[in-house]
Amino acid sequence: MLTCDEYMSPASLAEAFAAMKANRGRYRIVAGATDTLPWAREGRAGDVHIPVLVDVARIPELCEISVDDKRVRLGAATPIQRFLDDPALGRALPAMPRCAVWFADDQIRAQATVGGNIVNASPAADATPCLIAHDAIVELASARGKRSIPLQEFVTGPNKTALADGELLIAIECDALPAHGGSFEKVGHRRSLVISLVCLAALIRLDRDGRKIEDARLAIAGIGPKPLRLTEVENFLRGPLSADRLDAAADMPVSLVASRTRQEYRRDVVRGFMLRGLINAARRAGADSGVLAPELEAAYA
Amino acid sequence: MPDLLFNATINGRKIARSAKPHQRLLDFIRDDLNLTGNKEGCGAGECGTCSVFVNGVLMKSCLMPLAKAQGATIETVEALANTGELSVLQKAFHKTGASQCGYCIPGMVMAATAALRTNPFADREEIKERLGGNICRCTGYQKIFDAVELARDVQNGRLPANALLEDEAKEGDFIGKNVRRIDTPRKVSGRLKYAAT
Repeated sequence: MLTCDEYMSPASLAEAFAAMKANRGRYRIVAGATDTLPWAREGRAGDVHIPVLVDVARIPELCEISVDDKRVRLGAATPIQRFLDDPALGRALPAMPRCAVWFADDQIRAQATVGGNIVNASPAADATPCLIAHDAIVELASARGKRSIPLQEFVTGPNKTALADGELLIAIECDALPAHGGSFEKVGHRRSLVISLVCLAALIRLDRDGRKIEDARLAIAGIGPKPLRLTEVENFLRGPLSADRLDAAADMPVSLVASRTRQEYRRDVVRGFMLRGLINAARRAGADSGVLAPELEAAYA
Repeated sequence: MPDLLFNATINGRKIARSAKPHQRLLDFIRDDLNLTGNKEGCGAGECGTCSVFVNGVLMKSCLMPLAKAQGATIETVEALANTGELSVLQKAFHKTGASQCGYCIPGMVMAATAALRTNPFADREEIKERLGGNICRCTGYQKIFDAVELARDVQNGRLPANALLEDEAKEGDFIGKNVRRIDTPRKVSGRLKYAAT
């Protein structure tokens, strides 16, 4: 069970920083709290006493969202459900609604936040690879000021981030990719509530004829200590869209599997997900129907 | 250790009480207010039997620190039949035999209510998806989905209200038929104190 002496719900960033300063070394930040409560249970952390819980989910700066054709800015306390409910977000982040569908159930999506998913830095986080594929930058703030770093550098390892003492993740800024087709592939036992064994975010933009890949964005999680952007594969993919080239691209990240368990299975999944993710993203980007081999589509999409 | 002064509107009633700062919404509802309809199942957000509405949005109360619900309007399963008459959905659960041991049922009824509030025309696939956060170990789910579809059709006027009534039993013809259980009304409304008995 999780116990605390005080539960603080600051109404502004200034109040949050004051609470953090006054309770240095004795507090923990919560947003949705959907990971913290199950963590403090038998079988995981057991009974945990944290003197002060600081709930940042009601701070206005952390709840703001703005979207245009070029950029998306997400307050860190944006609940995952917003990616399903807000059509503008769905258009700008084409893989995100599919990620949200796989992200727990209706109840938990309404409470869990995108910032919490990032800061927990699980090797199998679902939202993180999606946002990495959008070249996301995280905005960190403390009483001393603000700084921004790429999301990919922010997550440094399992449950480890570049967050400094006294700092809060307040927002995520990333590219809007409304012209890309998106897909999110994930495998686990129960769709409503499962930690990814592997998850892949794929985004593709094609030329006007739907026969050439102009831009590919790929990020994967669950196969090693932290989510990875697949830059080499992206570079390879730019060019004509063909079944052979997708097939070759699907093999490229297989050797990156460095998980602690079930490596052989994950290698099979990675190859399958690459094909399925690329085909789904290409279709949604308006691929010419003659370009993708029907047998490949039948097998993977 | 300052206690938390908790204000909310619960099932239409305004309350203001002091509570422990680390209490979960679930503990407060069950232990402090004695509203024991919603149960604690897994306590880890996996089973959904503790689901309640917080400002109209279905949440798992075992995952919610009480302070998060400060000032909120909360509905528990007891709110659905607070006039004494079961809701259409609750009657449909009774009709189809959707409640067996009854432990998951408060959460199932809440999730089904949320599903039909969100989309009164939800098809079976969408119903399955929206009930995905809730686990039942008895029914195999089919009778629960049958109940939600039946309630949907009655609410939309596609079926008459008497579709919720018990089928007239033909003499000796009960094998393979859904049988209404006498304890279901208490299970779907949260009046039963000890489910799974």
